[in-house]
Amino acid sequence: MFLEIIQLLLLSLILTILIEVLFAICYGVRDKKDYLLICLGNVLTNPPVVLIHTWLLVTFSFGGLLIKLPLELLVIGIEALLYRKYAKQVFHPVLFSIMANVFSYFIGWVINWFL
Amino acid sequence: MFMVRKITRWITWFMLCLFVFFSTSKIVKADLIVEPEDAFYRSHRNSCTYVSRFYIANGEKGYSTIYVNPESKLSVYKVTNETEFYVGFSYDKSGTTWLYCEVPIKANDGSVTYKKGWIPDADCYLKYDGIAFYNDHESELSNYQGEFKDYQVKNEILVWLYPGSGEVVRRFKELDASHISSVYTDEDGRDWGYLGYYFGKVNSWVCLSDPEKEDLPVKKIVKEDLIPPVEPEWSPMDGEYLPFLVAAVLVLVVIVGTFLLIHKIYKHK
Repeated sequence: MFLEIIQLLLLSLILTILIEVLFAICYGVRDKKDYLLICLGNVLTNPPVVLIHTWLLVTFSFGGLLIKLPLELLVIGIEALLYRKYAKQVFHPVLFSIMANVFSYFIGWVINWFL
Repeated sequence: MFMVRKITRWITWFMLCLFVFFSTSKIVKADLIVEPEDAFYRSHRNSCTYVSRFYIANGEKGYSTIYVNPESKLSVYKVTNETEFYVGFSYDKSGTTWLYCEVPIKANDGSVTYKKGWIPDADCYLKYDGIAFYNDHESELSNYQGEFKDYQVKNEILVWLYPGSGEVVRRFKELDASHISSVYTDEDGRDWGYLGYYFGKVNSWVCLSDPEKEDLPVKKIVKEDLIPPVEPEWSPMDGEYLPFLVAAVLVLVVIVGTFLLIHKIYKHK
């Protein structure tokens, strides 16, 4: 079980970083340090959120939007704070964070649907 | 004030109409289907099929793995072959049928808990039951002609899983014979009546020739080519809490490290 959890966390983190970096490219971010910040921001937020969601799902069979929405809002908030404090080319940090996470969630849903 | 009174009047009339409608409606009796408290089932309810039968574990390694859901590799439990469990619903995904199962776990004190999750149907097989017997012998069945209607119950009527199963599934103090649909005559000349529905789903058989006899001859139908059971290996990391606890500690270390890294790289902004 432990190995599967770690695999899940790593896979989720890598996918999320790739998708959000792609979004940042489309958004027009060019600063390398900003890209590093996006990666680090996801390392900070993605694993705990995925772990909490997985634990609730496995232990209580409790999942869905009721869990995902508050967790995603927390992620958006933390990432928005990071971008606001440290990013150079993310001019609307809250909007960027919302859009990046919605984009990431949507792509993840599409991938899951096709698999 | 006038508007409030008008709205209140409309609401009152509406509620009165509702009351009249529901009090004169026919009450429809339906068999209760208990839906699982499972996140995957809830989000895929329309794609799941009601099964309500028993299966037996038959995994290649001598045990079968039960997963959190058909889309996850996270396992809930490993069940040794020959273990019988209830399957409520099935779900088809990419050519594989997944079964939502409830596996009984007996504790040392005799109490029973259940591990619930999803198992691929290739890792188990359907327990031979009354429905399977009916399907296998459909051409030999005759219609019930009322052979049982005058029977006087002495103690209780036994309902068997199938003729010769040796397994009593229900006991009734009385039986309305009109619920018997078909009759099967076994090799020994005994008549058996198929009981599909009687105060809930039964799908089992009553020995019409000897309805209260306990020690009827047993001729079990045994599936061949079964994989022998092997006790699955358990490590502490297969438990319910420890894997998540260790993962949480690791994630916490990563969070702290990342936070410090961000602070160090970007502190000069």
